[in-house]
Amino acid sequence: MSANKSITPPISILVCESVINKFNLYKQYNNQNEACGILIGMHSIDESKISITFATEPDSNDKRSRCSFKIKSNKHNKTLQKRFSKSGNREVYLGTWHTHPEDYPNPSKCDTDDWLKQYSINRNLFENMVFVIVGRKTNKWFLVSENGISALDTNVIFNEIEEKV
Amino acid sequence: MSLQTQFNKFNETISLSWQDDKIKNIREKNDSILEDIKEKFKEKGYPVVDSFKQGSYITNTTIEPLDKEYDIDVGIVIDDGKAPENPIDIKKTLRDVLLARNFKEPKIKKPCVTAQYFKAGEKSFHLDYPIYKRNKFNTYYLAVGKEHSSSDDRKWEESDPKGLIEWLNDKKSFTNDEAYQQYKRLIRYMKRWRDYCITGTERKKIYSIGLAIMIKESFAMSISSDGDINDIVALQNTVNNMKSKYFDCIDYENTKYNVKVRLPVEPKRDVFDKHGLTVGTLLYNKLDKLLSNIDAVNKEDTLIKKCELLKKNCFGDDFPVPDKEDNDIKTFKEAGYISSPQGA
Repeated sequence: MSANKSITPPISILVCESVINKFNLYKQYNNQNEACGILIGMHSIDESKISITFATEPDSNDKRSRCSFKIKSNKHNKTLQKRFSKSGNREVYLGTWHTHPEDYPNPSKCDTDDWLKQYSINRNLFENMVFVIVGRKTNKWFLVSENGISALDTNVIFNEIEEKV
Repeated sequence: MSLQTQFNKFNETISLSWQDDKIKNIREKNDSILEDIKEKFKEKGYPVVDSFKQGSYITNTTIEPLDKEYDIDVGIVIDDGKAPENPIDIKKTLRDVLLARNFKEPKIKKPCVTAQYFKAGEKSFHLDYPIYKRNKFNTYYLAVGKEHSSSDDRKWEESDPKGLIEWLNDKKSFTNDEAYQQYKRLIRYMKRWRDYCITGTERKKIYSIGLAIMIKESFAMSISSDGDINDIVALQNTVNNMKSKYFDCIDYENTKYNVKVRLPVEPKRDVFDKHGLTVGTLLYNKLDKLLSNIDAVNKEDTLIKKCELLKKNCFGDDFPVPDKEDNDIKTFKEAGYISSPQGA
């Protein structure tokens, strides 16, 4: 599946304002390293909606450079498990976010390979996963499902929702 | 939706700020009365050198009053050198200004001059004017005494109204801004709880300043390292701290309690002075009830039931109850596996 094809699947992604605000803190304007974290949120029963309620932030134990990252810290998982139990098993691992030092970001082969890997490990649990690359001018969102990776049209999917802590 | 979301909405509903449109006419009235006071005081030879809002507007903990009677607290400051020796003289002057403005029965109370404003079709409010004299060292003295107080009971008493405001607004005593905001929310919740759960003359004895001081000194923040805010836990722990910190059981048979809350600044007097026993016993039992009600809330498993209990037993109709549970959200056996994600 091509990552460049923009389609609009019958699914809407709702994003908390606080998540977007968090991304904005890490945009790579200067010589910052790539930032990364996981996305946490909820699936509606009919799988028509995914709400992104929380994004973890990079930790000192994560490996980060100007053009690559690897999430190694167990802090991300700790946060996930806590929110999972606090939400009554509703908030789950949705995917990852990371920054690119480009205005209009494009995923690398390394990115897409990893997304497919994350999905294949979790496919028994989730029908869909969500990944985002935070560029300097736009964020690019992707849905990974049985059909592979599809780019999401930001204008269609983007909705701000109230924070659900 | 979470319980915290409901608390956030509740906080927004009950908060009232000085700039609120709802109290625009009160603000204007206040300004114009202040002009009259200034004019009269100047005439009398003790011009007003400063005036400042005291009380909850300046500490941002005002809440919408349930009885729809708004309170305004304005400190009037004159120069020490020009102050009359007898503090009652100046209090009478202020009362005369209020009389001239057609206030019904303005009263000279021990710490201030007070008046009630009623007018059909307008918001009613209650005015309190403490009067201070200030010396060159910036020390304030409050005009204390009633109209017919003996010379022993009337005095200029050292006081630190601005220090009290600074103390209540001091962010440095808190871990971070989030914690400070949580403390302010707890004050608003507790004030609304008092207004809802305690009525009549009993309610009037539970001074807001007493609650605010106790809450600050007993505050137990509940914000996790991930930034998860939990007001109900903070409230529960703070109230628990309050109970053990300020109340002494003085009669085990009849379970009577004495409460003592000292002002953190001059004159450092006990806020509930002389009423320690009545207020102590009343407040202790009410706080106990609040804690058992919070316990019951924690034991409920659905958000709707939790909110209904909080509304009915603790905070009244302004506490929002959601229409329906988030039952269109999928639940999972596991949270998912994060398998060392990487990218370039």
